[in-house]
Parts: sequence; structure tokens; C-alpha cells
Amino acid sequence: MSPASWAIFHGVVRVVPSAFVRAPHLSPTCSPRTVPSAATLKSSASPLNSPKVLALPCGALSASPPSAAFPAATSFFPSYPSANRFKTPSTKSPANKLFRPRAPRDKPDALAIYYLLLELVGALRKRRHAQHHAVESLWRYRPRVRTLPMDVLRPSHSVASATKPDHTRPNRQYDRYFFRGMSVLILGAVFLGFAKTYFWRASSEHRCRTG
Amino acid sequence: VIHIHGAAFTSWVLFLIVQTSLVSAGRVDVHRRLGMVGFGLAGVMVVLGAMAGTDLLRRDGTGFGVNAKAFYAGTLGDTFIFGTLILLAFRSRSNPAAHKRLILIATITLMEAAINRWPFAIIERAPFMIDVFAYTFLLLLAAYDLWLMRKMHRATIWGGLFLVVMQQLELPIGKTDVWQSFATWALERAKSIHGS
Repeated sequence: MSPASWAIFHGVVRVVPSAFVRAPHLSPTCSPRTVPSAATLKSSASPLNSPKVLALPCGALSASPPSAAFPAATSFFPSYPSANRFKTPSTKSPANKLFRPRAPRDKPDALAIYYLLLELVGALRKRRHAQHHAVESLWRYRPRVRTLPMDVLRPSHSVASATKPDHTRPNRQYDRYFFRGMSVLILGAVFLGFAKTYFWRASSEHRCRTG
Repeated sequence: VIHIHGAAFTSWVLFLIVQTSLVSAGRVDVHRRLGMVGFGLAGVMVVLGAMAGTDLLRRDGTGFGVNAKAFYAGTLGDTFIFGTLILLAFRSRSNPAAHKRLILIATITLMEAAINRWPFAIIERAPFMIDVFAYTFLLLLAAYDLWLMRKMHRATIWGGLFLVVMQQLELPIGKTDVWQSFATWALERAKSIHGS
């Protein structure tokens, strides 16, 4: 049994047969040791010839390069490392583990689950414009995290609490204006009250003494 | 005593502007160092306020339609309120929101003496307007809290309540026999010190 057949038999990678298009790096004759080069991956990275591979419930990501199979899904997230992890495969790239895909070692965060969902939706859709529509809808209604000032956003705050509507205003800037304004107002009130009996009187007495 | 008292209280208001400006400029380190000087100044102000009040009692100074001994309760009461609020502000200096509010309310306590001397006829006609104008500063603080946080800060609520309740209790306390006898004792002590 070739490694590819072994992998398919054990359910590690499940390829949708109707959508399968022969790709060099997924060919049954392709040995795991013959790692596809970057040029090979790029040449096969077309939406037309990309294989449709489902993500498995065990958490294994799809075997096909997500940026190649679903460019609309991944081109929005250039800064997220796992979104473009197959673009430039090296010897340590997960592309070398095509036939034994594993879940990433690091703890999956909410964003990673979100990308996995995108891939899943894109893979389940047969038609390309439907894929685009699903991806765009998800992107349009993605959870948005408000940027809060550092004194409000403490480490204990989760993303969920940060997305709650915040009715308070960032107080530090307004506090500066308000308390300085109040102190000037108080000075004015004190001066208005004591000008005649204290401030001018003291200065006039000083003038009388010196004059 | 009165001139030193006036200089100290004027310094306090100027000091308040300097401190708020330092915080605005981001020099919190200087603000904290100067704050210890301000705390010392506040202690001196409490002593000078009590001395100025006793001196006013000796000169038979009156106000609000009450005798000098009852009015002495007002001057000493304001000094007590100011000292208490400053002490609370000092204790809560690690909580900037409460600290700045308590300092502001403590300064508002001292406003009645200045508002009493405003050259407006309405102040002379209706002495209760002194309280109205003084508490307008409190209302400004409360309105700012409501605008900023959709609720009033705890320091504003408790500090403001402490100020209003204590100030309204001052003259009724001053009219009691216990206070009148205490004021008589303080007057005799002041006269023996000054020799008049």
C-alpha cells in the first residue's frame, strides 16, 4: 500500500472524488519523500485544477494549499501566518506532510477556527461563485473587535467582552480638559471674591508703603 | 494670621492648577513628588483655617444671620470637611479617578468664603445663593461623570454627599448649647492668647 492509499484508508486525508483533479503533489504515485517544489506548487495553484479536500473532524487542515484552492478566502488575510503557510514550502513546511497532515501544535485560537470554517465552506461549495459569495459574506459579517484604550482593556478582558458595546468615553483626554478647566474656574471664582478685600488691598497697601 | 491664611489658600488653588497641568503634560512623576508638598500644604491649611476661624470668633465675626459662636461651627466645619476629603484623596492616590474627584470636592468646600464676597447684589439679598453657587461646581462634576461614564463616580457621590450634608448641619450644630459652650471656651482661650 502506498503512503497515499494508507492515508486515505485511515481517513487522514479525504479527497472528494468528483472534484478531484490530478495534481502532481497529490498524485497516488507521488511519494512523500519527493517533496514538490515551490514552482510545482505554484503551477498547480490554480482554482481550476486545485483538488477539493475536506478538513477532517479531528482538526487536520485540508491537504491542498488554501491560498491556492481558495484565493478569495486567504488573500484577505495576508498577515495571518497559517493562511499562507503553503505558499513557500521549505523542507520544514507542512507541505511535506501532505500525506500525514496533523493539527498545529500551538493552541488553536478563535481566528484559526474561523479560517478553518472558511476553508470548509469553500470546499463544500461546488461552484466557484458560490465559494466567493460564502467567503465574502463571512468576511463582511466577521466579528469585529473594538480598539479600546489601554487603561480600559486589561489583560483579563477577553475578545468577547471587548466586542460588547462600550458606552463609556475614553476618559483620560476629557479628564485633562475638565479638571484643568475646573481648577481655572475655581481660581477665577476665588479671585472674584477676594479681589477687593484681599488681592487689590494687599497690592494697594504695598504701593502706599513703597510710594 | 489672616494674611498667611489667605496666602496659603491662594497657593492651594494655584497648586491645583499646577498639578492638573502636570498631569495633562504627562509629568505624573513630578505630580506625585509635588503631591507630597501639597499634602503638607493641606495640613498647614487645616491648622491655619482653624486659627483664622478662632480669630474671626475673637473679632465677633458673624454671617448667615447667626451669632459669632454659631458661625464658628461653619468655619471649623469647613476646615474639618476639607481635611477629611484631602485625607481620603491622599489614601486613594493610587486610584486617579477617585483621587482627582476628592481633591476637587475638597477645594469646592473652600468656595463658600469666596462666593460670599462676590460683588453681586443677589448674594447679599439671598444668602442661600452662596450654597447654590458653591454646589453648582459639584453639579458640574456630577454632570461630567454622567456624560463620561453614564453614571456618577463613587467618589463624587460620597464626597459630594459628605460635603452637602456636613455643610447643612454646621449651623444647626452651631446653635446647640454644647457648641455654644465649646465656642465660649475657645473664645476665652483666644482672648487669653491675644491679651484682649
